[in-house]
Parts: sequence; structure tokens; C-alpha cells
Amino acid sequence: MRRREKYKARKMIDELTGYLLRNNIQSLSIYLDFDEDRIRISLWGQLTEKIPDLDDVIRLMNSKRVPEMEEYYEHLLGTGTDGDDMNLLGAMVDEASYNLREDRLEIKVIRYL
Amino acid sequence: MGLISKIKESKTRIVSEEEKMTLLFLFALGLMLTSLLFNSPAEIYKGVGIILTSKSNLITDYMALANPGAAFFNAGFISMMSLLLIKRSGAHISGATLAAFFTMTGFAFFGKNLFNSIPITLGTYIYSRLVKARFNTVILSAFYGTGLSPFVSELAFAMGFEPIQGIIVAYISGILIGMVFPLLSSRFLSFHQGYNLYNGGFTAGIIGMFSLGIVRMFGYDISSVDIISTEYNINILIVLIVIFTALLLIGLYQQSWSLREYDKLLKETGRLVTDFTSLYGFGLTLINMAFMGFLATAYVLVTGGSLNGPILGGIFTIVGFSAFGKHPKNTIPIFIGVYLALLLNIYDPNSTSSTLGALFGTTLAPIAGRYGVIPGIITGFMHAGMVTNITYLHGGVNLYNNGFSGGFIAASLAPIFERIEEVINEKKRKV
Repeated sequence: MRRREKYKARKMIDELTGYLLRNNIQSLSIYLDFDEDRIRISLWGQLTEKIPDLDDVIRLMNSKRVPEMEEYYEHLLGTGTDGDDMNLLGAMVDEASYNLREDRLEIKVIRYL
Repeated sequence: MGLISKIKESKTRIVSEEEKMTLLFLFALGLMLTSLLFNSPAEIYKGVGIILTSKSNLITDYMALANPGAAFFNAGFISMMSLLLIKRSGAHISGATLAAFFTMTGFAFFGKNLFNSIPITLGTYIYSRLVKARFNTVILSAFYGTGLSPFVSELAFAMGFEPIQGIIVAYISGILIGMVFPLLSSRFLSFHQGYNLYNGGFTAGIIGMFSLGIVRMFGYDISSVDIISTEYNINILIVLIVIFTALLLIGLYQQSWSLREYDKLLKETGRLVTDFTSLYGFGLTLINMAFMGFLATAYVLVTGGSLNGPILGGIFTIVGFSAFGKHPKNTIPIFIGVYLALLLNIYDPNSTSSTLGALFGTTLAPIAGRYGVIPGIITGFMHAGMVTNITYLHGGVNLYNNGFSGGFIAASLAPIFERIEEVINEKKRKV
């Protein structure tokens, strides 16, 4: 199962990276912490413009996990060009938050195992 | 596009899982009781026996094969069993489960029954135990895998085996199908990038194609049939109007009698995964399901089609997926495209198989939602050609023939439309 979780972590990073790139982030750093009981992902970088739906996306990622959806559709994560897969990401993560200071954005995501 | 407008605030009631389960329970019970409006209990009992021992491959309308009462009872019973599985597995009533639930209901009018569904569902359960996963994580596969249930019936009743021998062979095959389905279904998503909503249909088509290849290799054959009823239009229409009106009223009540945010829902592309229940709440989702039920029924009647078991299957599947991506704006272009093809091609546009092509062709609604009306019409047109050409590959043992076709269409057209869009946008930027 741990290998599967690593795959999911990779897909989650794919999706988040795609989201930030679509929103024209200038630089991007990624931190992944694979604990016994949780996966923590942080992404941070310099924004070139405001992300209009950031609050909505974070709120969506804080909605409840939907296990039946993530197993069936997880391979789609990171493949979209228009951001629709954030809905799926919301079904896979437990907590999300962001910190915006001037143009430096940090997004933190946690998935409990 | 403002893709996420998650709103479950002030004016929208929060609906508990128990309330959602109760609604689905009443729906299933209602279908079972509706059977009594068509036939006596004795006729229904006899009819269910006929259904359970039928070959059930495409297109076997249980209303024509047995009687409408038995078909409604079978649909209600399968719905009830599906709901029980959802509850026992601990799965949520999300857009994904609603889509799968109504797909189970719809196809129980023409192909799925308890006998031929059990082994596939059991196979998926065994798979979940083998990989030490909870059953709720594979429940969608357990449902969609039953699209191959006619293969089970064919092996049991039509291959010339002794009865017990046939059932053993059929059940072993069904269990194996159920075990591989979860592995393949999620992988095949990459092929069409989520633009084919009936991904289970594409998976079932591939498995069906392999299965038929093996069967034919040993000198057996399975071919599609055409057992269809046309004489229950008015009665079925009344049942549908009652169901969709009930969905609409319950949805409006949940939504405090307003269509707030529906304009935003209509802007969603519908590409997998677009769960309207999490994005817009349960009330607005029910309203969209009701609208889509009326729209699909109107399409059938306006184009001169008959309301029968398979058509009910098409309508209920659309209703289910209206919690998971479909809405009028991304569906109507597909209807237009398929109907244009039917007007121009050699097939009868009023036939049940033609109407099914349009109803189930809405599996490609995300392409219309993403790339616009004209690409949507082209997609519907292409689908009408493809779907009539691939049934031979699986001999009708895959009930989700349109999902199979839709996978190829989506995988072929979406990249083309994407490139065209990029070129147009590039030119606009230069201007």
C-alpha cells in the first residue's frame, strides 16, 4: 500500500504544480514529507498575478475525502489542461491551507494515511 | 473558467447521508411498487424468472422479453441491492456514486439482473480483499463491471453446457472479470483523458472484446439481438414525469426554491471528475438531474422514438451522470450531432438503437463543455458512426456499447480540438 501512496503523492504534486503553472507562477519549489501516518506537501514560489479562485480551491481541498472516487479516477490527476482535476484532488486530501505574503505564495496540503 | 464555486452556504440546506440514502431507497422501492401498475404479482414473478435465465445481451428489452412489471421490479431490486452495497461498504453518496447507482438502475431494464451481476461484484470484492483495500474504494468498479453481465448469462445459458456446468463456468468467468476490472478501469482513463464519462463502458468494451475473442477461438459465437417493445409509451411517460417532478421539487426545496448558482453549473465542462454534489450541493444537483431527465425524455419523444426498457436505461443513466458532469449546455450539442448523422445516414432515426446512440452518446458531453457547440456537434456526429460499427467486437456482451465507442472518439477528437483551440488563441493574441 505504501507504494500506492507514493504514487498518489506524485499525482497530487503533478496536479498542484499544474495548477500553479496555469496561474503563471514564476518560480516553484516543492517539499514532500512522507511520514508514517501522513503525506505533507508544500509548494511555494513567486506569483506574477493574483490567482482568482485560490480561496475556492483551498476550500475544496478541505472538503471530506471520497475514497471511492480517488481509487477509480486517481490516474486523471495532473493530466488536465483546464484545472478541472482540482475537484478530484479535493477528494484525496484532508487539509489544505495557503499563505500569501506580497507575491510569495505557499500552499500546504496534508493527506492522512 | 471559474471552475470552483463551492457553495453550501446560507440558503442551501445541508443534506445528510441518511437523507440521501432515504431518497434513493424510496426511489428503488417506488420502482418495485410501480411494477404492480403494469402486471399482477404472479405475472411479475414469472417474468422475473424469464429475466434471470435470459441471455440478456444487447439489446434485450426486459419489457419485451418478459413484461413491463417484471422489468420495473428487476430495476427496483437491482437499485435496492446497489444501495445496500453502498451503505454496507461505507461509500458516500457523491456525484460518482449517484452516477453509478442510476446506471445500475437503468441497465436493469435491459441486461442486468441479480444472477448475472453477482459474480462480477463478487470478483471485485475478492480483488479488494487481495490488495487489502476497503470495498468502498472499488465500489464504482463493482458497479460498472456489471456492464459485462450478459457475458455471464451467455456462458451459463447459451453455450450448450449442462446447467450446473454452465453456471460454474459463467460464475468463474464473471469473478475473473470483476477482479481485473478495477485494475483496468482506472488505467484506461489516461486513454481518453476524462472526456468519456462512461469510462466503465470503455473498460468493459475492451474486456468484452478479449472475452469474445477467446470464446470465438473455440468455435462458439455470441451475437447481438433485437428484442424491443414499443407499446408502453404513455404509461412509462407518466412514471418518468412523476420521478423527475419529485426530483425537481425535492431539489428546489433543498435549494430554498431558487436556481441560485445554476448558471455557474452550466459553465462546467463536465470533464471527469466534476462532482456537482460537492461543487454545488445536493439540492442543485437534484434539480439538474430532473432537468436532464425531462430533456432526455423530450429528445426521445420529439425524434419519434419509443419509451421502452433500453430507452429507460439511457434516460436513467443520463439522470445519474447529471450529478457528475452532464448538464443541458454540454449535452444538447451531442444530441444535435447524433441526430444530424441519423438524418443523413442509412439507419432509421426513430429506431431504439438510433435513439440509444443519442442518449448514451452524451458520454461525450465534456467535449462540448470544453471546446464548444460546434466541436460538440461534430463529436456527436462521429459517435453515431462509430457506435454502430463496434458492437461486433464484443457481440453485445458489453451493455455499455456507447461508452466503448466514446472512449475511442474522445481519445481521437479531444487532442485535435485542443490543438485547434491553441492555434486560434495564438492568432487572437497576435492580432
